[in-house]
Parts: sequence; C-alpha cells; structure tokens
Amino acid sequence: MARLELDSVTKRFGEGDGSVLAVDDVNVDIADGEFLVLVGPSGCGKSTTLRMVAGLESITDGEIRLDDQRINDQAPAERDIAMVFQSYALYPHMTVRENMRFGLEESTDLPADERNARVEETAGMLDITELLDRKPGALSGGQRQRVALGRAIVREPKAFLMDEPLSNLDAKLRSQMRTELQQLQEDLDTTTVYVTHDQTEAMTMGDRIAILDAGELQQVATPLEAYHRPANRFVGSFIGEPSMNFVDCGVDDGALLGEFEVPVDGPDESRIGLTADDEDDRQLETVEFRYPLGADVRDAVAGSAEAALGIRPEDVLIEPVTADDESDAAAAGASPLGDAAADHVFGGIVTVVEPMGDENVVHVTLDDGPELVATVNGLRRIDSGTRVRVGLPADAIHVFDGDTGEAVHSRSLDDAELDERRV
Amino acid sequence: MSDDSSVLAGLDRSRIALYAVLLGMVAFYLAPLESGLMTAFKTTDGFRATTPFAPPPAGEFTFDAWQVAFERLSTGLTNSAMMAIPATILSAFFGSIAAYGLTNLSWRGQIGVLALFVAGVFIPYQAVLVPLTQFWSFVDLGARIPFAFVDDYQGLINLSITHTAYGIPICTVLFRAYYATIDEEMIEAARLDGASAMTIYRRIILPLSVPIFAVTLIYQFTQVWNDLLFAIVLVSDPSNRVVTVALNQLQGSFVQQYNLQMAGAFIAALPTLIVYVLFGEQFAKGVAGNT
Amino acid sequence: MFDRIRRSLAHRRRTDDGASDGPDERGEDGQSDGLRADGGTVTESDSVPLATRLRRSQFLESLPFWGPPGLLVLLFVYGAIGWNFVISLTGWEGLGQPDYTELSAEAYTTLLTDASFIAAFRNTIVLLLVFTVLSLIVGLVLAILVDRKIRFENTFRTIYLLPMSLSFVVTAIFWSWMYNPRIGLINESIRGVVGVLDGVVFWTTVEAGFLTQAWLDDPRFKLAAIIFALMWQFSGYCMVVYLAGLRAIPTSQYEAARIDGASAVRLYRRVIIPQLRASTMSAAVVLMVFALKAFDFLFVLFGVNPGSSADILAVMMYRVAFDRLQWAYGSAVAMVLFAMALSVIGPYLYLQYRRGEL
Repeated sequence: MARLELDSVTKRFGEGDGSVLAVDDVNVDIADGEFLVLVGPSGCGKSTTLRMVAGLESITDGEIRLDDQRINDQAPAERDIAMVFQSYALYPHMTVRENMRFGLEESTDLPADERNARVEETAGMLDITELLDRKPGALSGGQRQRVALGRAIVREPKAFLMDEPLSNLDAKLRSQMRTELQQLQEDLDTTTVYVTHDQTEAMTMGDRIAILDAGELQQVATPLEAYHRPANRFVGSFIGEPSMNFVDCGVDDGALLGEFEVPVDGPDESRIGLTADDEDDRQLETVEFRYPLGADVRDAVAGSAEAALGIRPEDVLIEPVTADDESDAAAAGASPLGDAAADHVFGGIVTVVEPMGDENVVHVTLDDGPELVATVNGLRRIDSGTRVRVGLPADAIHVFDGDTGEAVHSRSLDDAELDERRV
Repeated sequence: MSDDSSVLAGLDRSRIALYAVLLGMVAFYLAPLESGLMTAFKTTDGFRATTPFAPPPAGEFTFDAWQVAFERLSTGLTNSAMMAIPATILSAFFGSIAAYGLTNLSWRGQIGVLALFVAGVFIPYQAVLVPLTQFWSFVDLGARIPFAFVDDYQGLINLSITHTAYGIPICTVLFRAYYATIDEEMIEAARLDGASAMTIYRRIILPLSVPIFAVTLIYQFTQVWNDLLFAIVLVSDPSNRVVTVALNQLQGSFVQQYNLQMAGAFIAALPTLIVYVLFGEQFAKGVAGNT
Repeated sequence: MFDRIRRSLAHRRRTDDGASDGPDERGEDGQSDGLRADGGTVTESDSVPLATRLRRSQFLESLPFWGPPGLLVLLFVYGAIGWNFVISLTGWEGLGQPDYTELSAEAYTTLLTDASFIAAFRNTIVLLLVFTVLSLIVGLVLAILVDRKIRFENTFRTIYLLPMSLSFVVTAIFWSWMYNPRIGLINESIRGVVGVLDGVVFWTTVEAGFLTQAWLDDPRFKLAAIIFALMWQFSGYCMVVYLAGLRAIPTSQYEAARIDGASAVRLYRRVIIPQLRASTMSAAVVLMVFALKAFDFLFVLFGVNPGSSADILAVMMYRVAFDRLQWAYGSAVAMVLFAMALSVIGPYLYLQYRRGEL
C-alpha cells in the first residue's frame, strides 16, 4: 500500500574522470497499487534504478520517496520492500518453508504460529503447499520461481521489486507465469516495479511502462501509448516486434525526401542471394524517395532539417503486382492498399518472407531505395521475388526529428483507444 | 577393417605405455615409504643384510623398533594434538569470518586489507622468529595467569596461539575463494529480508560453509602438525615437546638405527596420513586453493 | 479464492506499518506538491554525513568480522616483521636484551662480505630455481598423463600427492635412509641396474662404484640430492594445480583440435600448455616460497651446519640467531629472506589484482 516516487534519481559509479553515469535524472511517480515495468536494453540502468529503490545501491543524487517519506538513507531492511531476483536467490540449505519464513523472522516480531500460518496461506495462494518441506535444489525452475515470489509476498511489503524474474524460465513457462504474475499483482494490489529487457513482457504486464536508454528515461506511458505515440525514435524502435521501420530523410518542400544508392539494374530477383562481394561489383545509381506530407505534418516538421519517417510493419500495406494489372495500375480501388493515396504508394520487390504462422514478416525493397519490413496475414501467400506495390498510409506515419530523435508527429489515432483501460 | 584393428592395436599400445608410466611414478612416490615401512619391521641385522624394499626375511621380523619409537614419541603425540587441534579450529574460524567480512560485505579499501591477508600466506617464518621469542618471553603467560595448566603447558599454548595467527592468512584465502562463489543476490535477498550482517553469517553463510570448513581444517591441521621451526624456537620445556621435535631428537640419538628411525617417522606421520587417506579429496582442494 | 486470501491477509496486516497506509487521492496530490516545493533536498546528498556513508559502505558492519583476525595478522605478521627489522639494526648479541637506542645498518654491510652468506644466498637461488622448474615439469607431465581419462584416477592422484601431506621431518628421515651410501635404496638400485647391464651387455664394465655416491655427504651432490627429494615431495602439488587448470579448458577445444587434425603433441604444445600460464604462475610462487622455507628438511638432515655447499639462508638465519646468539645478524639475514619472498609475491599479487583475481 504505497506510492513510490523517483525524483531526479541519479547514479554515478566511481569518481572523477573514470566515473560512469549509470542512471541520469530519472523521474517516475508510481501510484499505489500500480504495476510499473522498467524496460530497456541491457546496460541501460534499469537494474541499477531498481537496486537503488531496494537500497542495495546508494543514490548519488536525487530522492526516492515511499509514501512521501524519503528513503535514500534507509537500510534495505528498513524500507519494507521485497524483491524477487533473477537468480531467485533462494537459500539452498533451507526448506521452502524456512525460506519463506526467514524474512518474517528477521523483519517482524510476529509469533511463531502466525508466521507459519502466513507461510501456509501464501503457499496455498501460489499452489506450492506440497513443496513446503523440500529444499530449493529439489525443485524445478518454475517451482523455484514461485517460491521466490512466495518469499516476497509472504512479507506483505509496501512494494514489490522484480528484477527480470522470468528470464530464467523456458518460453512456454514464461508466458504462463506472465499471466499468473499479472493476476497475482492485481489481486494483491501491491505497488510493483518490474524490470525486464523483454518488450513483450513490458507490453503485456505493466499498467505503465518506463523506457530507459543509456541511463535516461525516454518515456513513461501506458503500453498502448508507448506503442502508438512513442516519444522518440528509440522508443519507437524498442517497443514492438518486428521493430518500427525508419527511413532517414531530409525535409524538402512539404515532403520527406531521401536519397539512396541502388544498383543500376534495379532491385530485381537477380539480386537475391548475391554475396557482399558481388554487391560491391555492381554499378550504383542514386534514386530519390519522396513522401509528400499533409498540412498538419508539414507544420510539425517545419523546424527540422532532417527527419525520419517511421511506420509500424503492420501499417505497411502490400499488394502483389500481377501481370495483367501491371498495365493498368490504377485499379487500386478495393486492393489491400486501402485508402493510401497514390503518391504514398511505391513500387518494390519482396526480398525475404518469414512465415510466423499467424502472420508473415515480409521484407521489401522499394525501387526508390528504402528497405522496409511489413507484416501481413499468415494466410496470404507471398513469395520472395514478387513485385509488389507498397502503401504507406499518411495516417499511420510517425515523424521523428533527425537530430534529436524526438517525435514531431505521431500516427493519427482515436484518442479514446488509448484511454481505454486494458483488460 | 584391417585399418581399424591396427588403430585399435596402436591405441592399446599407447594405453599400455601410459599405464606403465603412471605405475612407474607410483613406484617413485611410494618407494621411500615402502622401504621405510619394511625397514621398520626388520631387526638391525635384518635391514643391514637385505635390500631396503624387500620384506623382512624369516627370523628378522620384529615389532621392537615400533615399541621403542612409540615410547619416545608418545608424549610428543599428545602434545602435538593438544597444540594442533585448537590452533586449527581457531585459524579456520578466524579465516571464515575474515573472508566473509572481506568478500560478502563490500566497502571501499577492502582489496588493500585483503592483499595484506594474502601476502601473509607467503611470509617466511624466519622473518619473525627473533621478535616472536622476545614477544613470548615478555608476555610470559605462565606468570600472568595463575593456573597450573597454563604454567605446565606454557610452551604449547604459545605455540598454539602462534600457529593460529600464522594460519589465518591461508585459511582466509581458502574461505574467500569459496565465498566468492556464493550468489550475491542471495545475500542481498537476506538483507532485504531484514537480516543483519551477523545474522547473514550465522544463518546463511555458516551453514553453507561445511564443505570448505572440511577442506580448511584438514589442510591446516596437517600444516600445523608437520611444523618443526616454530616448535624448536618457541618450546624449550622438554615436557612440552611436540612430535616433530621428538622425532628429530630420536633421529639424532639413534644415528644408524634406521629401523627405529623409520618406525618413528611413521608414528609421527600417522595422524596426518590417516587424515590424508580418509580426506584426500579435501586435502587436494586445500592444496589447489593455496595460490 | 484469491479474494478470501486477500481479505484474510488484509485482516492480519499489522498496525506497525500504519504510518504507510495508502494516502488517499487528495492527500497524494497535496503532498507531492509540497515536496516538490522543497526540492532543495536533491542536492543535499553531496554532503552525506560520514555516519551515513559508513553505514552504506558496510564498513562498520564488516569490521567485527575481519577486525579481530586482521589484528592478529597485523601484530604477529607485520608487527613482527617491523620489529625484526629494528632488531637487525641494534647489533644485539648474546644473552642480554637488545639496546634500541643505537641503531646502525652494520649487520647489512657485514652480510655483503660474509662468505658464508654469499654461499647461502647462491644456494638459495639455485634451490629456488632448479627445484621450482623441476617440480613444475614433473607436475605438468603427471597432470597431462592423469588427465587422459585413466582408470583409478583418484588412486593415482592420491598417491602422487601423498608426500605433500608429510612433515619435512618425516620425509628427511626417509630420504636420509634412501641416500644411505652403503645400503640405501638409491645406491642399491644403481648397483642392481648396473649388474643387470653387465650381465646383458657383457662388454660394458662400468664400475658400480663410479655411480654410487655418498649423496648427502659429498659437497658435489648435496644440493642436487636435496632438490631431488624436495621435488619428490612437491611435484604432486604441481600436478594438482595443473590438473585443475587442464580441467578448466573446455573439451570442445580438444575436439576442435582433433578435427583440425592436430597431433597430441601439437595439441598440448600449441593449444593447451599456453592456457596453463596462470596455473604455472601460481604454482611457481608457492613452490618458491616453500623453497625459501625449506629449513625443516635441511635441519633434520644436517643440523645447523649443512656445509657451504648446501647451506641456505633459512638455515643460516637459524644458526646465526639461535645457535650463535647473534640476534641482530640473524634478523638481518631474515630480512634478506623476507625481501626475496616479497620480490616473488609482490609482482604476483599485483598481477592478480590487475586481473581482478585477488
């Protein structure tokens, strides 16, 4: 039952010239009962941030408050926080029961029978009652994971901290535990900070996610907001799988204009399967990729000299060019390209198709240079080498400033979709 | 087909050569012990007349040498045990807590303190002998502590304390190597569970230290038991003589009595030999960790 | 089911965390505004009080653990060495007490011209180098042989390491018997082998007497005999260290080299042995220090006077101090010994530190 605030939290390892800034001025306000996921690539400072909250690392600068109380200088034990570690960190010489009871013995003065009752109850909740008298060495990975959770839950702390708790499980167990953990957190309603490098976990588990990169907080938002309105190019590329497509362009007269070098004989079938050496021998020519912008976006990019066009793979529309409509390209009315305006449709060729079952991940190279990834329905059959028309609808594009990477325009979306609570 | 069999034959031949060399080395390492053991069972005429490694010939077999040697060494054996057992246990305990404080708890500058501990492993005892004799003559435990026991065993007590202090570095090194492998997250979990450094040592580290205690106790016991230098320098009272000193004197007073010398050597070595045969694995670990 | 548990958990939630009862919506906002107003607390941590810093660094918590043993080591090891150095400057001799008022480096200048010191120093260096190299080679060969997936590996290892568990006093007594010129095993074996050779190859008339020597009495062979016996005692140790090093090399490297068609000799020379550098270094350091300490072994064989061909600093120090009662001079010899040990372990510890293995 607690609100957790990180106020300009900074961590610097070492001193002087050799010091490393691991966490740089992070501000997050986590509401009581909220499930916040801290996500970012490895080395981005997310674990360090969590360890500062736990009291395992000192805080170089800034303040961490738990229920409006500054806890910077409190020892870990005084903070009433429980943590689930990546390695589970179970005590190997103690039974599951003793493992779960240890924290109660050391941090509370509950009478023995009450401690035991709490352990039993928590074990029941996690369905590990029959494991209580076993030692960690005799448990499977999934069972150890539950015990580690139980050890945190039994203490009824103000907040849970979880440091990649699912990363040692196999894929199937991981997705199962993901659901279960979410359910559990909702039931317990305890403030939780969950660290992961896995953007799927971040998207599916958190009430909100905080994305960190190189020690700096990039965005704090609900998963959908982070997905559809990434604050910057990093967030756009980190959240979502396959990653968002980016085309680096200049801003030119109401349009995004990119220059690309492509082989003279075009990106045709003969190119597939060539080695890098072969590529080097090919004659190159410069082509232009031009993407006209609508009035509102034009204003947004007015201040930028360079900009990156961003578009999610599922928004890249693809339609094969068949022999008969090659001559009659205007027949785009009811095609998968939908309402993409004609100047937002580009010719290209499919280079690789990765069938995933439910969808196909299609890599296309546009005649104008950019290489894009698109996802299409798994039942649609598309072969590599197919010539396609590629639609990049104006309402689906993001535009990021070329220098700062900040988003200057996000895709159009009915705002109601974002505000809707996830179920 | 014929290729296969010739390869197999070649393999066999190299395996045979391998085992022959290994057995030859066994003979090399055991020869001094074997010939010593045989000699110890021979009469004086017996060992003069036969090859050392041959078993005693008929009529020349005797336990006399063992009996005489045991009489000369029995006090030494008890004294060594009284001195070595407490010293071993204390060094191991101190080594354990020092390694914990320098490994599992972190603070700036601990590497420097640790370096002093590690360097202590390699100090030649000669560098401290003269001050040590001075120190113990100033301290003079027997005069300060009015117990007959302290007065009677002053030399052994001094020796035991000295061995404790000089055993701490190697024990610390052995424990540290082990404690460094303990999952750091587990210690952190215990801290978050509210355990103090003391509680973590008592309830987590100590119960997990059983295997390394075995290694350290066994290694350190043999080292303390086998020492001669501290014993001849620090113990003057003949009644406090430890077994290595007694054995050295036995050798000096029965110069040509090789049967007696060999029996004495085996008696003095027996405790360490028993420990080694029973716990060879732990001893090997202690030896390998001695770096 | 969860609801029931949650209710019962909530019911037993103790009042001791009452202070942290979740603030309601209104309070939350009001509080955070208030705190943000006094944001000055942010920079306060630059001047963290010493007490807080100490608590954070776990220094005070760790002190009760390493403090007492550290104090013992500091007193007995480093304090004693310092004291020893002071004594070496006093010129103290005989039965009285040292006079700490007049200090001079006379003992050290005397050392430089003392023929017995120079002989002992030379012998110590020879012992150090030859013994170490020999033991390392034998240990490496043994480790490679034992590592070839042999049967009874444990038995072989146990036997090879056995001498290491014995006291120098015991091994010295064994080897004095081995080296006995008339009926010791070494000379008996030499006679035996020469006899067989004479029988087989009748034209060799090598005198057995030419090969059988008074190993421990003849100044020409004394040091070599000692080194051989010490090698016998410590090569098993080298084997254990090398074996640990060999076992740390992944099997895939052996397999890769086999697929590449490398012969066993080339495999070891090109792939395996270069990776044993760390094992070699640590074993060499320990052996050198053992060699510096080899006092017990020589003392049992020769007493305080091994003679100039086998005298080493460790024995000389004892002889000078405890036999001739020239305490200051003995302390000076001890300081030389200490400096030698330091010159071995200093670079070793520094290297370990640099590699983060301390």
